Parts: sequence; structure tokens; C-alpha cells
Amino acid sequence: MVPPAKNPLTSANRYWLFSFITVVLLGFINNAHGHGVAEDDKTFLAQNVGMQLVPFIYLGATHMVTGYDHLLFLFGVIFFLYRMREVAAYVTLFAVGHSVTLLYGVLSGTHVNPYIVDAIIGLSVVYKGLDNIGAFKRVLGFQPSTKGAVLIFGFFHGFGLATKLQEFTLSQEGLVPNILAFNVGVELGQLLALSAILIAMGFWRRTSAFDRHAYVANAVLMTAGFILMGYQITGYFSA
Amino acid sequence: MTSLDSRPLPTLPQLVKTTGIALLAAGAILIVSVLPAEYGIDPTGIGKALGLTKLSTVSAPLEAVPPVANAVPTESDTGILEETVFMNALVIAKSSVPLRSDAMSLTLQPGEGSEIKAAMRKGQQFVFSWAAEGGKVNFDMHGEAPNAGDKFTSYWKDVQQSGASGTFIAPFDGTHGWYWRNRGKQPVTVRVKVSGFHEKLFLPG
Repeated sequence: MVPPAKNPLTSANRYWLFSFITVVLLGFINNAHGHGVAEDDKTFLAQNVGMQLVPFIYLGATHMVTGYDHLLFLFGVIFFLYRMREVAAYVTLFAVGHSVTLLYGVLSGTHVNPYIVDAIIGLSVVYKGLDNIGAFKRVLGFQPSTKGAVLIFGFFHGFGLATKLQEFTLSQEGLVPNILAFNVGVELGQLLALSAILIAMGFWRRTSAFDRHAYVANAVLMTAGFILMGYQITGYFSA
Repeated sequence: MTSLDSRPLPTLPQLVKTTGIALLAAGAILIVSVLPAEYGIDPTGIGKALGLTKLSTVSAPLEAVPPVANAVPTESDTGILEETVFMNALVIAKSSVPLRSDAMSLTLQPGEGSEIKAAMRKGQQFVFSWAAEGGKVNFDMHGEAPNAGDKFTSYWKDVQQSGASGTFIAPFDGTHGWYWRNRGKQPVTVRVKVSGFHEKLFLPG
């Protein structure tokens, strides 16, 4: 049943596994918050004046690593990607998408309703789950562009990130470099989280049961997306 | 491109079933745990039984808080005020936003009406005072949620007043403030002073 372990853990693999565990632990210590920025960080943001590159990089990174809505989408996107080049292409598209709207949203002062944006982010998770089980191909008769979907949903994820930053009265002094730093942090966090997901997926794919699990896993992903949507839509109507 | 292409496609009934199960599971999880824990919405009572609704009481509306009046501060031997009832949670609303004070004024010609508003998040507070010079005005202190269209919530309305003061606690995220109308025959200037944890005070365009 269990396939023989062809290549035991190389030192590189061990390194990544260790980073993965560290990232997961950091996530828990940081008190995972898929929504909003933690209370201490709020105080920091409110008090900060001028250019603060490293703190903003850190905030962006922790926001991404502990933001389960972004991670679920990323997980769905790379689910069936085996080659590093494909992973890189899709992740770059996602990064371009969310960077554009993050920078545009904050710099132009565009305020989007956070509940609506977060509901759409939930929808992006549902979409990716359905896409992965082949629902669109079956229903539409063709496969809608997976790259296009990642880019378009990337735009919405960016607006989501923007609303998180806009919850604060950001100091005008050093605003642009700070937001760029936040964005850099988001990308670093995404790389870290992605490495963790890829390693876990790598182990999973080696098991013979992966094909059987894949369908169920994407159904679960879809469920998680529906939960996010319900959570945000209720918030929109009750707030 | 992806190995998705080499995978046999599920049948339509299979897809409908999968999506249906996903929706039902999501709905059940939402009703039983997420909504009670996040918003205190608990139609089944299961959330309360599991103790999840407690999580949402932090952000529960202030009306739910029992009155403070029965807690009488007494002075102890050390001269430090001691509360006879544990009430820290009731008398302190912590703020992570800096304190600010704003003053603003506007002049209303006879028959004219206008607004001054503050952008606030739910639970943020300010102390306010406004006074009308040159005559009396009708006012409506009210607030709107973002993107609420023409909908607004009225807090305090009165006619023919020369001023009003108090403490305001934003019941929801949005803009909160005053609308004044000058029904008199002379121009009236209204001056507002606000100190608190609002984000900004402004004249809505």
C-alpha cells in the first residue's frame, strides 16, 4: 500500500520541513487572524509616523501567513500544479493581481466594503474548489482560463488587503514606502506559506491515495469557501 | 497543462451532489459555530450550549451592558478609589486610536440645512458640544453605514435649540454627526467641538 520511500529526506528537504514547522508555529503564536490585523499591530500602526520599512514588511508577511482566506485560495491554485515553473507562473499572476489593487486601493483612497470583498474572496475559494474537481469543464464543456481566474481573483484579494490597511489612520508621512514595504511583506509571507503548502502537498502526492483524496479535498475546500462567504455576507447585513 | 486534463471528469449528478453537500456542511458549520462565535447569532441555541456565544459578547452592543449606576465608588483608607462592584469592563473602553480634538463651524442662511460628520468605527466614542449663534436651529443627530444609500439612523432630534452636548458611542462603522436646519429669519452660525477617538470630522460634500 505505502509506496517505498525512494528518496529519504535530503538536507534541503529537511530544511524546508523545518521552516514549514517554524512557520506553522509562528502562525499559532501570532494568534491566527484571517480577518483584520491584530490588536497590538493596530496600536503600532496608529502611533507610527514616517517611514517604517521593516515593521511594515513584517505586518504584510504575518498578515499573509496567518490569513487563511488567502492561503486557502493559494492551496486550491497549486493543488494540481506539479512543476515548479507552473507554480511560479500562477503565483506571480496572483501576486501581480493583488499588488495592483492593494497599491491602487490604499493610494487612491478607494474604500471598498470589506465584507463584500471578503465574501468575494470566499467565492474565489469556492471557484477554485469547483475548478479543481472539473465542474466548469463538465458544465460549460470547456476549461475556463485558470490563469485568468487567478489574476482576476488576485485583484479582489488585493482589495481585501487594502481594506485591512485602511482600517487605520495611516500617517501621510512615508505612506508610499510603507505601503510598498507592506506589499513586499505580503509577497515574502506568500512565499513562505507557499513553500509550506508545497512541501505538505509533495508528501501527500507521493501517497497512492492522493487521487482518491483529491476530489474530497477540493469538496472540503469548497465548503471552507462557502463558510467564508456566509460569514462575510452575514457580517455585511448585521453590521 | 495541469493533470486535471488527464483526470476523468465527474458526472453532472455527482457534481451537484458534491456542491450540495459542501453547501449543507458550510451552512451547518456557520449556524452552529461561526455565526454564534462571531456575531452572537444563534438560532439553534447550540452555540450557547457550546459556550461559543461568549466569544461574541466583547463586541456586543453597549445596550447589553448592565447600568453602572449601582456601582458606588467608595474611598478606602489609602485614599484610593475602590469600586464596590467589579466594573472595569464597563467603565473603560480602550482605544488603540490616538485622541483627537476637532472644532468646526458652519453658517446657515434662513431656510438652509447642512451637516457636520465624523468618520467612526463601531464602539468609538467622543464627547461633543455644539452651540448656535444668532438664532435657534432644528437638529437631527444621526449616522449612516458605508454604502447605505439614503438610509440613516437617527439618535437625537429636537427643534428650536441653541445647543446640545453629550457623549456619543458609535453603534456601527460609518459616519455620524448632525444635520441642522435654520428655520429662522436671520443667518445662524453653528460651532461644534468634538474630542474623542473618531477618525476625522468633516463637512460632507
